[in-house]
Amino acid sequence: MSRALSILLVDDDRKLVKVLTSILEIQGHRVTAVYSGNAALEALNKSSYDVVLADLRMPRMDGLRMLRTVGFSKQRPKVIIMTAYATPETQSKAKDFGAFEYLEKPFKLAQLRQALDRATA
Amino acid sequence: MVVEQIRALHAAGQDLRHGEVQQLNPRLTSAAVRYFGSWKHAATVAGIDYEQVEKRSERARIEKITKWSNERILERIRELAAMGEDLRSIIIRNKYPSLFSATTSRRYFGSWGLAVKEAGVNYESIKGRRRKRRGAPRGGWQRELILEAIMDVLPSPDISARRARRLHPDLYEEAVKGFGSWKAARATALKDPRKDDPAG
Repeated sequence: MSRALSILLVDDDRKLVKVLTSILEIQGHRVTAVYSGNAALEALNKSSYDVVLADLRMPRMDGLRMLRTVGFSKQRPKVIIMTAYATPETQSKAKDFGAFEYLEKPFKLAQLRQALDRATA
Repeated sequence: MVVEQIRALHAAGQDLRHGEVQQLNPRLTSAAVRYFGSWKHAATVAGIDYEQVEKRSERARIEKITKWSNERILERIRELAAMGEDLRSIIIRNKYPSLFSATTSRRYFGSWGLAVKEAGVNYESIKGRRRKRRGAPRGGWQRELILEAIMDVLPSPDISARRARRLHPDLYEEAVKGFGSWKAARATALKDPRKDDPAG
């Protein structure tokens, strides 16, 4: 691990959030976990983060919509989009909206670690 | 602040109708009503032509629906069935929102189940699959993540249950839920063949 990061983790799958939060914290990162795009925007208004790790498919506000809104905010953290529904179209949209990386679920922890390293290199 | 946020949403291409923004950011709509009397007025102060917003949204909604037809919907459902796609409504609603929205509109079938039946796909078997899945073990990938964490993230995979519960309560809890006990999770991780695979 290169350095401790401040990470905003956004996913509506609470079990996954619990597991990933635990793993990232063991790796030394500081994690704020939220379960919706709206909550993520609120968290971004309150604090700054090095990386946002966001699910693509979430109710009400999905990761892409969130990404688009984050792009217009003052704080522009690196956003890593995670998805189980990867298509070339969503991948290209995610890139267009400013996503730094696109991780297909299920991913290995090594892939996540590499993505975080690249995001903060 | 309210005006700036409305402008940012507008610039991001967000649908600015009150209901849409309320779902997205209820604090913003409440603040707008508190300070400006109405959402429409706040949007107008932000320089947005709100009547145009309403017209554009309605046009977009109609366009989305009219690009479909009964035949096109049935054809698409058959294509998805042939691809082995999960045709449960909850999946299609998330994965193919345009198809789902058109299918369930009164203009076409009004119901996803009806359209699937019309397409010649056995809808009862789809519903049956859902019932079966409810009872089936879930979270296969999360189990994998827990095993990876035990092997590669914890300082040592030999960590005792007591220590794991104290130091990493969430990981411990999920491991117990997924494997029955910490000991079982650790044993599974230690015999997991992936630990010998350098590619991981």
